[in-house]
Amino acid sequence: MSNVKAAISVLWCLFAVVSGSYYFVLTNDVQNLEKELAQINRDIEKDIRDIHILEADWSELNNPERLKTLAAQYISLDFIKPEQIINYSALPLDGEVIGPSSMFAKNSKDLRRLVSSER
Amino acid sequence: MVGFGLSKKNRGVTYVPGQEIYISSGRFGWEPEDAAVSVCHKRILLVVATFLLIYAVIIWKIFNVCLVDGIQLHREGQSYYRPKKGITFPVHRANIVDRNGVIVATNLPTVNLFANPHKVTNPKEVAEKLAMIFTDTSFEDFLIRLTRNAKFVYLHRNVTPQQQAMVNALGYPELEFLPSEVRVYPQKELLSHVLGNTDVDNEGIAGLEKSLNDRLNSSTKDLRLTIDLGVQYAVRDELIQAKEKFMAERATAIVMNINTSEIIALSSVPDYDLNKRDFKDKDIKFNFATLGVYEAGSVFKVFNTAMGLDSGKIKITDSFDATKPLKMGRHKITDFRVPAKWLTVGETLIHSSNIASAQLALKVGKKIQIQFFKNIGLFDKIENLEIYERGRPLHQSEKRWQDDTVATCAFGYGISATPMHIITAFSSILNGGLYTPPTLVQEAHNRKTRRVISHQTSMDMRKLLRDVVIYGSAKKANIDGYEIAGKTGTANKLDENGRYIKGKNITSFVSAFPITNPQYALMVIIDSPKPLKETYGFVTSGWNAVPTGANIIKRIAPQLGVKPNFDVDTQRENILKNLNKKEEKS
Repeated sequence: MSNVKAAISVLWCLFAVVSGSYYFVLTNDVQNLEKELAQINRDIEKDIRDIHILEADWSELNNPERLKTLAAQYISLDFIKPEQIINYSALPLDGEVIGPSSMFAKNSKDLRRLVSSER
Repeated sequence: MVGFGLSKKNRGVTYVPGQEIYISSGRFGWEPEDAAVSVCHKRILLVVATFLLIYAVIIWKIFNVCLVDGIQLHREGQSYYRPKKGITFPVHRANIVDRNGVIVATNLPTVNLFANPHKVTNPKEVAEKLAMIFTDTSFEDFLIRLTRNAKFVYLHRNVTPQQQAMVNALGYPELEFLPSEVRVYPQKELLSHVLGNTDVDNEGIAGLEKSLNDRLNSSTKDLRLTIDLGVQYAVRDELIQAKEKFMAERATAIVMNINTSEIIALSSVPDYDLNKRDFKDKDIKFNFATLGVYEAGSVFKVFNTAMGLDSGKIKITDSFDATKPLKMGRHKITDFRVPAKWLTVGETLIHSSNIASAQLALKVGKKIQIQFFKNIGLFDKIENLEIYERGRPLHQSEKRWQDDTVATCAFGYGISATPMHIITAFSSILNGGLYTPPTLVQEAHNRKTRRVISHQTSMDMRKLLRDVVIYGSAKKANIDGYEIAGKTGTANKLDENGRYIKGKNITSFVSAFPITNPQYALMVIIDSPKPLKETYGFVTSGWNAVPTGANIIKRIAPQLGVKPNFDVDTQRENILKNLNKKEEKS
């Protein structure tokens, strides 16, 4: 009987040691993972901060005054004039020659309908 | 171990500690026959118990370190390895962005340099070295701060990373850094009057920064404005040119969505770079668009005519006698370059006749006029407009509102309002008759729309104001394709004491386009323009505010997606013209 008791005690001790060890290892793993998570979060925060600063920088770089100066310096673009804006329906059809002699638009009911519907 | 004080038979035998307890009796315990043995037993037990206690403490400590402390630190967040459940946004004040998401105001993380003067052993040396790093602060300034009898002094705010590295390289442990934020305006002066500014503690002190301070501090979600930065730039650019050209004291413009009353652009020059935080010149800080209460002159004829037609007391075919000045008590109402004849309602607007407008208003009467002005918001501060600087219109009290007031208000004298009041009221006249309070912020939801005139009156007004641009004082705004309608106004400028300044005018032009389906309203005000050779010495609105307005519309209409209304033939002619130009250039 005493042997059985001793065996049970030994088993309990063994169980306590094993479960304690497992708990210890598990806790350790969790702590390591938390450290890793904290580091990742800090990295993300740093990236967000960098992006935030870069967004402000991008906004400053896109200042219309600056873009206008650069456009004048490097490309020959000017402000859009009203006469440069053309309706799709006013574009010549395939093979059609537009010019002062061409009265296509006046004779084309479809084109006129399209133009009026655009308005 | 040699057993001490054991029985004779057990002497000379070596035992492990504690074994002797069982030797004397063969069971747990000992025989008290020998006092020395008993003492020895007790001591051994004491030692064993002490060791057990020490082991228990060590085990308990290990347990604490491994498990309990970890949880504790996690809760208190004191460890460097504190697990973070979420991500903290780097700044605490929300960005302000334009309607397309371009940042116009943002906080950037920075550091402030501070010190405890009591800990600084050699203030002169420290001040000298700091003055070399921070060139905008003098040696004397640093020295004063470092010798102050205080435990905390700011030495320099918003230190750059390079400066921070240089300070650290000095090796003074008494110089420390405090994380902070600085408000930055990447668009500089472009939205100065709209945004306002913040103080060193990032609290709003003017403009939207002040009026929406709680909103900006309570959430990091972007505050989206109704302003379009591209349009804002075009408007400001044209205003600067106009101000220089006409040698004016100030130029102001507002672009508004005529149907929603969203403000697309609001600019008043001169303005200032928000990042410099230089508030010495109060004049440049003055936001004329929302705070400048002034007598607008003939643009009020738009409201007068709309009021008359909507009241039913005036028909569009009615005529008024403008052959002679109108006597009002001791005063006479006269016209400027208006044909002396009977004028229809349309001609009254085209020629901008004060005499005919006054007659129209007198026919409608005081009661209707006051009620109408109230309806279109000319008696109160602009409702719900988010900006802090809002002017209150000036007008006679209702008791003193006599016939002379009725007559003068018809052509914009005797009542003062801000450009924001006027363009909002103007929009309600042309958008079908609905008044919506203006807004600068897209998240504004507490605006209530109300009807102020009938749809038919609004349609009539569109035709009448289109005629003003085609035949009247605003001819210079008759841009092919954009079908602009509007009204000019030239009024004498008042000084601070309410007296008219001789030779100084404020000219206005209020317009809408395209009038066949109005989408946007524009108001331009030029303060004290000078006569030029090309204006033939005139300083009236048609020579300065109108061409400025036309230039603005030419630039912003394509940006706003307003298509010019040309028929197919004209468009095809334009294609050829453009192709020819291209060929000539190449």
